[in-house]
Amino acid sequence: MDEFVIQTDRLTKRYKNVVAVDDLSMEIRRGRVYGLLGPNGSGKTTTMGLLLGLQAPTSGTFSLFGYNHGHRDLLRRVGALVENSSFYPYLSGYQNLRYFQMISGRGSEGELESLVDRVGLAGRGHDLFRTYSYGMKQRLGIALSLLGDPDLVFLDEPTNGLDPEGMIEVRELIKSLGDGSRTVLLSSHLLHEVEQVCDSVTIISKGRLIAQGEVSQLIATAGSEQIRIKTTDNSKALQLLSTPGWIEDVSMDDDSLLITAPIERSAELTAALANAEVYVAEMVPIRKSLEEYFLEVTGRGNEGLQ
Amino acid sequence: MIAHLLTLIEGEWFKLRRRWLPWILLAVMVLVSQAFLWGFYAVYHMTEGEGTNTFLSDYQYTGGTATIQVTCSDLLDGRLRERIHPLSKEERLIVEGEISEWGPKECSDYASEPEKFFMFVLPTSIVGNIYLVFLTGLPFILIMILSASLLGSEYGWGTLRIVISRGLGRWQLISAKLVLCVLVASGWLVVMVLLNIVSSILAGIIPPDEGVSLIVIPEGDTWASVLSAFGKFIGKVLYGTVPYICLGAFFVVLTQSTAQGISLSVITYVAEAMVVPPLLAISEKLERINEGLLSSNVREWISLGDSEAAVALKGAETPDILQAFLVILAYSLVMLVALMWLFQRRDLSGPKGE
Repeated sequence: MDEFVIQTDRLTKRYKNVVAVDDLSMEIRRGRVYGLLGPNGSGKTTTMGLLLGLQAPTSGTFSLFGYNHGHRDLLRRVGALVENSSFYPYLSGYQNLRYFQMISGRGSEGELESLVDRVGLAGRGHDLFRTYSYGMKQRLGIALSLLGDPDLVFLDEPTNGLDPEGMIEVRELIKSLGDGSRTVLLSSHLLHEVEQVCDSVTIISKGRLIAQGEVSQLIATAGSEQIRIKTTDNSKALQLLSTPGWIEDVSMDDDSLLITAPIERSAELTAALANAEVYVAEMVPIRKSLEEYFLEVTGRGNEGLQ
Repeated sequence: MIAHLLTLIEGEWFKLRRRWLPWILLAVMVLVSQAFLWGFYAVYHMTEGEGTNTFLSDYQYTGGTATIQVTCSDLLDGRLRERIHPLSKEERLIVEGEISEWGPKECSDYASEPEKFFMFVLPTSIVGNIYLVFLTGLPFILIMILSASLLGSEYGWGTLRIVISRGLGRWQLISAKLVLCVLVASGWLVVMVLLNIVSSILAGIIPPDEGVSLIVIPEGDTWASVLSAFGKFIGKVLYGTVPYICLGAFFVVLTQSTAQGISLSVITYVAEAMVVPPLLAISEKLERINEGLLSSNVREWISLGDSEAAVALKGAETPDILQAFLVILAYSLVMLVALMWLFQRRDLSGPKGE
């Protein structure tokens, strides 16, 4: 059974003097929601374009569902919303979906009605696409990506142009898509969105793979976490905590201490202070967000490339 | 594979029939065809039933024994000998020599078949007017606009990315579009034929046409021969549109733009059909190149036949029918291969705007 739905091996796309995707090797497992993160121009959309057969790689290879690319039928198991939602403006939303359903040769008209409802276009499905707002166009794009119940869904900035309520709806929808055997590859510049929705992320910068893994693991491995504590005697605590080797750093921050150390060693920390008759009045673990991690790694990646 | 192609053609038709473009182009074709039919009807009545000769030009010769006058109509109807009969043998030779120069120059190619005299009478009116419409070159321009737009709009709207990402296959998509263009051209012909039938019936029953028969089979023809000629003509016309369909599509793939694709196609057509031939006529050697031009070959290919009159009117060197078939095939294949190769290799980007 093909465990990986996407595998790329040294995938490269070069446009004259610009390298959009550079030696990218990544693996995406079946049945999860993956985030594809990267600054603007990092090569996210080009990567999706390569995987969808819209662009030809300059070098390197990739496979979908364990089969090498170039196998046209593989794309029949894929649904995609890439960049903007582009449809036929003189057709209604419903007719647009009907056309794609017709040429795919899958699904029924009943499926279209339920899809239109599912993405929140009920009541507007029979209006012409050219009359849609940007958010409605995005919703239709999401509906198209789900047409025919694909095994792999590419979503490139799906919440662009949606109102806050719409964003929440779509996030819930994406989360639900990742349940079971379907895989979702979500590209977004909204990092908190990715953090909320995705199980794993792949971070690229300047076309290169910077990091890949589960969101929680990436944050955990991003460096030591911090703990803010208030004690009965902060000066004495500062002295005491400068000694243990497992504490990377400790500093005074207003009326509290900021300690850089693994959160799971908090008990040892409080015990050490208590032994010296310094008691902890308040202890707050400070976890890094994906956003901080992202900024850290992409900054490092950029430096590395310069 | 055939089933997949048929599905794609069905999908293309699903989209195309909801656009204004094919209907507008059809309206233009119908209008021009009807203009010919009713134009001949009007001329016929203005000349008080003398015929449907639209040629004003005539040739006059004053000999020792008589003065004769020859019109294009006489020439096309084979009445030349009858007209020059009053002249002496020597004078007849002079006139025949002069007529062989005057005829091709003055009598338009439009009038190269006897059927033209029946332009509003069934059954010749069915395709006679369509033939004239095709000789104007307009249908070829319209079919290029259709094929260019069918593909170019997808670039403009950015829908090509979505279509290709559904795993349809690039060459399959192009093939479906090209086949649909041929089918649409067939549909146009069917509509034009039906309307010509209706108009011919109307022309036969409305005043002042009492006494004019609704159906007149040309002398020497039978229903079977007429219908067979129609069938052959329709088939030849459709074959003749294929290189132009490929030409329109090729320029769109090259430029990735509908407007630029249409412009280049039309410029190429006009240059090749209207500008180059007169330039080639400067010398006899250059005139041979004319035989390799697409437009000359298409014109020869769709011609209704080689009647005596048509042969008499042929001026410049024109290719024969087999050569015309092969040249059209060669142009079609070369452009098809070029456009498929280019389309297969090109990266697809987002919307470019209409």
